Amino acid sequence: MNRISTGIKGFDELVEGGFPEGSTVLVAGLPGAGKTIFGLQFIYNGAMNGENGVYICIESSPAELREQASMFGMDFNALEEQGKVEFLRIPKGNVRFNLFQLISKAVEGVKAERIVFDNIATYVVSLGRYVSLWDEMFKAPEADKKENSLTDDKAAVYSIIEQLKSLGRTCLVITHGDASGARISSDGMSEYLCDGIIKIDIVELGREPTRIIKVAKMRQTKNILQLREFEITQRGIEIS
Amino acid sequence: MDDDSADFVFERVLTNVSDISTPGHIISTFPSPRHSIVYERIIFLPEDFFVELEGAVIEHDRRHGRERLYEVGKQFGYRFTSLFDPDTKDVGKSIYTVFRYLETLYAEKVEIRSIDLAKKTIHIYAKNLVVTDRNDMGYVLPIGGLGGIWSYLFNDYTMECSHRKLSDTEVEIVMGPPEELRSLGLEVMTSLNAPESLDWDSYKIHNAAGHDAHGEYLSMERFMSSGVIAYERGDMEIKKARLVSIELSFLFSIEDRFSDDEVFSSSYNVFSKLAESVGEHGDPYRFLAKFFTALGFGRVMTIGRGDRMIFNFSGYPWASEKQEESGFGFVRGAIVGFLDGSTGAKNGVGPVSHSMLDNSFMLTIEVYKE
Repeated sequence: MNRISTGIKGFDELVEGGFPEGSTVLVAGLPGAGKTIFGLQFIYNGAMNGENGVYICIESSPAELREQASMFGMDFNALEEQGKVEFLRIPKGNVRFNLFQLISKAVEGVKAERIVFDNIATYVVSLGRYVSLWDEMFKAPEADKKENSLTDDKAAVYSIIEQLKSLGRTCLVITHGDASGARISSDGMSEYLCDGIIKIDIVELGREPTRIIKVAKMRQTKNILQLREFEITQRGIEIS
Repeated sequence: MDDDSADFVFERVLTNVSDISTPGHIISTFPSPRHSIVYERIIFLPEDFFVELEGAVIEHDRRHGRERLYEVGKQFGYRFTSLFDPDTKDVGKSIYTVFRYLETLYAEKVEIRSIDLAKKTIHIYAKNLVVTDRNDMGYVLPIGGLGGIWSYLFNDYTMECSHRKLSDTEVEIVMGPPEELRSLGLEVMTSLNAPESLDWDSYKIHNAAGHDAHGEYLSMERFMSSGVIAYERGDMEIKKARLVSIELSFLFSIEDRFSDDEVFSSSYNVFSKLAESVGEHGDPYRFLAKFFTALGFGRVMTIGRGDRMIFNFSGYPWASEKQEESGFGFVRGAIVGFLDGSTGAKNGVGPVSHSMLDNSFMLTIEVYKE
């Protein structure tokens, strides 16, 4: 089996050298934990090694992500100019229409082997608000609303993840963690649909806030379940 | 204890009085004899720890070791009773409450044979009293504890406790003024060093469970339902090693009054043997973290840091600000003992740090392979 290396220092050894090729991996955590940096490094390191990528962004704009990446020595401008990476911005106003046509086109355009979807929780919330507004404006019949309702968050999550999987690329799906701790993702569904789960968090160790990462699940892999401390250095995420 | 009593203990006392479903925090709340609400945080320790500790203390101090153990037991018993807020004007009622509690948790059977309030004495029969007599030293710690309880009830720290073995499993216990005990031909140890009182209001604040969404914590209830910890006829065991529930300040007293080496080595010996008997349970670090959580030591997670492992206790049992000076010998010894026993390698303990975060006492212990 081919394994797709993340290139993130200290991470690949937690998953036998990398993600199984073509797998869809959930990256969950509370805000500020490091999920987006993880995604950026995954795409950047791949592109630098001949595996092009698409970064689908909903929360942040491509400009914001490029700037964030540059703080860690990742120059995405050059990779975009070379046609190795594309940032695909999904405006909140267009969340309902031809999303996967857009994604497929971007993937084909750069011949991407890697995809990052950042952030499925935000997308589903945006979708719900948009559909509510649409239904209100056009006064859709109640029967139609229930039958065709896209405000069913779990159905939307299922649809997105299954469609991403159908592309056959190695994909990271970023989402918010559940603050109560009762489940992994805020939607409570993503973790069952994905092939792997990475949890990223910040805990208090003594007086120091400490970042931790754990591979909670990875199919076809003897992953190390132990929580590991990591730092965000000038080179991005590094696991000691 | 018969089956009905055992069921009563488990269903009515241990589950309704003691909440064992919250990971890391085992809290008992119940009305005191004076109708205030008692808030007690409990931890479980292997009984063998007390056996080892007695042995270590006596070995270290042959001349005064037993007296030291008795003194610590008495100080704990005195403070423990103050937590119960008994009605010292109605001693008879308070006696019943305290001894029902003792029978529930510390002996198979406790019977009050006679009480003479005028002479301030009480004769008790106990069967299978835990903690411990397995060193043939007598039940030094619990006898001291009972002396402390009696001292508090009569507001007189000169009260003592002694005992006489009736058989391998049965003992007669007598509490009262030392001269009364001597007149019965009993050996009497005395201790007049009354303990400092604890701030029970701060105790309640710093031992509240709080919320932590980070880890996957298991409660004592989960450990019991999984069968890792067995409960039968009033005894809780892991691989035939009996676990004893104690109010947390007893461990504080032990760590405060005995040397760090005595506590560490006792804990090390117990947990290294426990690791061998537990056998294969996956990653020993994660198992130990879950086990500590189930025993009531707070929510414990282990985090790898380079070639070291950090044990992080969130909501570690808190008794006093003096704990900040503690070496935490029990958990340090337990961690190193268990890891040595599991891995066959020598492990060392690195820096220990602690802090108070959102009123929860946080303890961090770093370990490494030597």
